[in-house]
Amino acid sequence: MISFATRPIAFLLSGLILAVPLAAQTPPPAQPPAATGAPVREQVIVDRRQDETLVAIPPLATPQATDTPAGNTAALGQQVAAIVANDLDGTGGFKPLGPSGLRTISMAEVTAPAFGEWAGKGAENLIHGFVRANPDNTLTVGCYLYDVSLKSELVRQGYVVGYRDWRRAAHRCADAIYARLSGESPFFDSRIAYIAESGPKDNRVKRLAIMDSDGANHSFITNGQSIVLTPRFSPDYKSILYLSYLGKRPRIFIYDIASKKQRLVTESANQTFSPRWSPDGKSILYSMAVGGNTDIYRISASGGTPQQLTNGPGIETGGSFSPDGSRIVFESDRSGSQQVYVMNADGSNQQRISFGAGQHATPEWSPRGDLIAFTRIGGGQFRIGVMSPSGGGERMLTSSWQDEAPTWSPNGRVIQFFRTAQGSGKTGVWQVDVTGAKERRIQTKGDGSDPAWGNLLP
Amino acid sequence: MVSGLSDPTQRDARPARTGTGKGSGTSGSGTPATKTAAQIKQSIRASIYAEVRPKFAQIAPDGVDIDQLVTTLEVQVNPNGTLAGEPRLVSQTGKTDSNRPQQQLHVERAIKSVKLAAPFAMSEKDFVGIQVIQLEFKVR
Repeated sequence: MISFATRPIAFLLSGLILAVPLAAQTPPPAQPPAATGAPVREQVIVDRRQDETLVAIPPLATPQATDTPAGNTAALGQQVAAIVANDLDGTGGFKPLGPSGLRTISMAEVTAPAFGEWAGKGAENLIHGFVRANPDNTLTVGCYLYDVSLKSELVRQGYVVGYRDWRRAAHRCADAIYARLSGESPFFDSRIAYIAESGPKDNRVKRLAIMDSDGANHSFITNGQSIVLTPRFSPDYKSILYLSYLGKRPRIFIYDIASKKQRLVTESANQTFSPRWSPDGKSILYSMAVGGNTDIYRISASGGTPQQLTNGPGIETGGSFSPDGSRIVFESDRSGSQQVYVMNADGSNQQRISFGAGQHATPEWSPRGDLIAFTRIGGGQFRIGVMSPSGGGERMLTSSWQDEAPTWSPNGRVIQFFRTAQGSGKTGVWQVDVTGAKERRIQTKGDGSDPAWGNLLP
Repeated sequence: MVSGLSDPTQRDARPARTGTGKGSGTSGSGTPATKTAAQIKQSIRASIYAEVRPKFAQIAPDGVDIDQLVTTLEVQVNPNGTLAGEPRLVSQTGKTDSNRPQQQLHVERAIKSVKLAAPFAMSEKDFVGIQVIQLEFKVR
């Protein structure tokens, strides 16, 4: 649907007179008007696109096929292209064409694409590149993006990586292309922590696991002997915060990824849950039930005495810092049902911001600061939605039986959550873009829950 | 059709029966008559509608609060319908924190849609000199 609204205009004719040959018996035509004066003003209004941008990505070239510990560079050219295509495909805005079924380009084409050929395939944009083995045991991955119709270059990047990091080069290439075409910040070169679940419904084994944003490079952190919940990467990616029930006693641990050692932050005989980092990584929010009253506490990441931030009669939990660390969003049932509130980081100035239908739970502040994601409970469903930090503009993004626990991508434009299937109780990690247009399931080892996205890798 | 907004294919782009040039009728003798300023305006609007709008619809950026953004470009068109220089940004309104990533993209895609649409289907007999057009691009 389109519209073409008009506006009052002043269209001035100049006094320019053109020499026009006269014809007998024929009145002379008046002169065409010149174009001086106020411009014609019109609106070009279009509906939001429902289709996706077709981006062609043939296998990357290689100047010389070379065997490396990461594989042959010719094969890597295909694999890098496939990773880029998969990354873009999951965003909701792009439809990759290739690399399967497309010819491998020559090195000469990397900087001189055959635009006519790609235009003939309907491609709006074109990704080219190369993989080269270097004498110093590194790989160079070249990454180029072109506008096919304008025949112009939009991105030219090169990444020199160790053999082990060739997948990161592909994600970086996808990030550069995504950022150029969407305007958004990159997020593919990042990692995800989640809880891998297995076993029967009444005796689930829950293990802390981490993987790349596309599910690759998967590894388990814990062995399943204790129940682990709600992992969160530290802002510097060096550690993971999580809750563990060892011997049914809740403990908050920090796991150091490099040393593979965990450190106890706090433990209590009281129910404890939902630990969250502050943006600077120096302190941790968590909730604790004392005498039937659950409140939010803040503790130094190195441990010590916690500071109680809420003191209401209801259940207050799920604290999440704003990106600048000045405020906290949390949920409380002090009004009679779970709703979302914000307060200053010291616990002052607590205000309710959710007033829509149903209950609102598990709020998470976007790393961009402009939105808060939450779980809305009502009508027999758990759904993921977003609202502004002032509570306006509530929008629901998913509609399934049970979607919950949203966390944000590093760029604040994709939300990750877990979905529980009705009946089987099986859980899976899903992503939805912030417009709600595209959902996709992320592959995990077995069932997955409590996903958390880390920042962009340094 | 959207209420409250006129559709040039239904109204504005109707051929001018007394005029000449593209989209116009001609007299029985084939002698060209002259378009009025209003008819020229209609012709230009029809060209824009037919050519720029579909291009922008294919490449308009998307994102949160994208419907708030309005990008106004000044486009100069030669009598033969070609662009007289690069489209120029006049203004952009509706900027919010959420649509910040798309603000520059909105301008870029608006300019691209004009470039892809040109040359416009106009008759060189319609006017002389350069016609200046301001286009307001919006996604809803």
